[in-house]
Amino acid sequence: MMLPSVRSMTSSAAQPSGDAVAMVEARRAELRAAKRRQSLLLLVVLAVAVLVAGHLGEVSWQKFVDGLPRFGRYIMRTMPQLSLESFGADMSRWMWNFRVWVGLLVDTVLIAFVATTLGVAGAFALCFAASDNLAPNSIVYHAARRTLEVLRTVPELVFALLFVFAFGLGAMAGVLAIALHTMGVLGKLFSEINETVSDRALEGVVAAGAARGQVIRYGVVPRVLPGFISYTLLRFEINVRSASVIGFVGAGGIGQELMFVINQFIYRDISAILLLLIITVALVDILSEWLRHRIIGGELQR
Amino acid sequence: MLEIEGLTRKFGDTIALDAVSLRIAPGEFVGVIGRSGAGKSTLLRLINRLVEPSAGRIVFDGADVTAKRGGALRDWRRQAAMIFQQFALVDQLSVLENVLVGRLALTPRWRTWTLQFKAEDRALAIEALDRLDMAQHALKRADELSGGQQQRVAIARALVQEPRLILADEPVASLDPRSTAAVMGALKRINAEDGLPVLCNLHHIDLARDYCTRIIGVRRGQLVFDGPVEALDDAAIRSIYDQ
Ligand SMILES: Nc1ncnc2c1ncn2[C@@H]1O[C@H](COP(=O)(O)OP(=O)(O)O)[C@@H](O)[C@H]1O
Ligand SMILES: [Mg+2]
Repeated sequence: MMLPSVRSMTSSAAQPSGDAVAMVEARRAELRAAKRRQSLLLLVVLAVAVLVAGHLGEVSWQKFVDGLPRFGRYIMRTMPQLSLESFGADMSRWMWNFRVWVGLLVDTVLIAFVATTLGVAGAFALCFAASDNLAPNSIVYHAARRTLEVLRTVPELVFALLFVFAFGLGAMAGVLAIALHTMGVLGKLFSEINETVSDRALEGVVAAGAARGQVIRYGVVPRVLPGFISYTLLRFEINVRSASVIGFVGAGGIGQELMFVINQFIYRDISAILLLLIITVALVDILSEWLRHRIIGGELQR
Repeated sequence: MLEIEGLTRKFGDTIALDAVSLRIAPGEFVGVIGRSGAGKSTLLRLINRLVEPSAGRIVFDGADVTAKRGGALRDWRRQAAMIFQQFALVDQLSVLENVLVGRLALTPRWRTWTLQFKAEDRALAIEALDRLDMAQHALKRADELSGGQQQRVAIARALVQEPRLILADEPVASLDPRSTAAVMGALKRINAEDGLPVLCNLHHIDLARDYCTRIIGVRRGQLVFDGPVEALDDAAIRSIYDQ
């Protein structure tokens, strides 16, 4: 399709083009100058905002410098005594509760896994209604958007507290809390991927007489699925971290134990648990990265 | 019989189509020619109801198409099969699945969610592909095909819609000469064998002369020529293409 402006440009192509070059160049310079002014303004606003926020939040350089040695001392205190001669014995003393901790870490990963699965299902159910190009009408659209917004805005820890109150201590509260938050976040991300599918791209399905659900199934889902999978795996990694904190309020996983040893100043255990947690998170990251590449690569080859 | 009366479409201040009236009988192969921006695509998109008219009426076999809503509208779209310049296939689906999109309006919705169709539907789709010499590519992904092949898949999709009318919007504008011959030949064959009326936007007058029985000329949204292909002389061409 050729727009009228393009047409008038081609019809004047016979005339000397010096005018056109000068005109476009002048306009371009104007736009660039405007853009530069805009970025400068933005930079100033950002700098002021950071300073004001830092002041209000009592973030001070002095405090930071004063606190550093204390932080260092705390870290040092948590360090285990390991020597080369008695490495095995030292190690087993440091990791004295290894079995329990690993069990708790497995719980943590499982909480994240179940929560991610439930959250993805919820997000998938709502994301099409929350996309402005696919929603049946604006009432459904706004209802879906607001629902996802609320789910995403309430922090997982707050959900976890509520659910511990309702369902008692344990993993169930953690799973529900993370699932709801995940649904809010992924529902929003999914709907944004949906919105990148243009109407023109869907016309082949619409013009054949397909109904809304069919247009989504045949025109949208095949296009957005790799993006959905990628975000889901990323979210799983994030949820493993969330699941390790959620125990702070009694919602299951390694967090409960970590909270306990921190509060009781059992220094060696703090470093042992953190080390195991870091290894777990790294393993999950590597696994999900590998999966992501396999699935998305496979999707392209299919 | 397709009857169009006073069909008009405005986009803001632009009048893309200006009170066009015409009738198309079964079996006709009508070429629509005109400069870029004349309103050719708008005409076809109005007929399929991808675009809503600002004024005027479309009537098919006595039924008012412009008044259709919901299920009736979707069934009309199925009957007025559309073929696009850029093919409008779903790249990520297989060729067969893309053709089966043409069966969606004829299949209960609950069945379609899993991408599974009845064996009869699949057979129909494969036969349509075979008619276009594309059956051997049925299980490839749509984006693995060349442009000419993709357009033939789009024609197969149109065929399984069990259409009453074929609307082709510059179906060969992005194709090389050999693919052009294959695609136009396929449209011509379907027109002759099935007696389906074809309304085809074309960029090249030579193509219009080779394949069409009747020519419609559009200029700035208005119908300025309508006659048998033999009547398309230099004067007529000038009246269509001159500013
Ligand atoms: N969706 C749209 N929005 C705004 N203007 C449009 C739209 N579609 C078409 N037009 C305008 O309507 C006129 C006719 O367009 P079109 O039917 O695509 O012409 P053709 O297919 O003959 O090249 C052009 O001026 C075009 O810019
Ligand atoms: Mg066009």
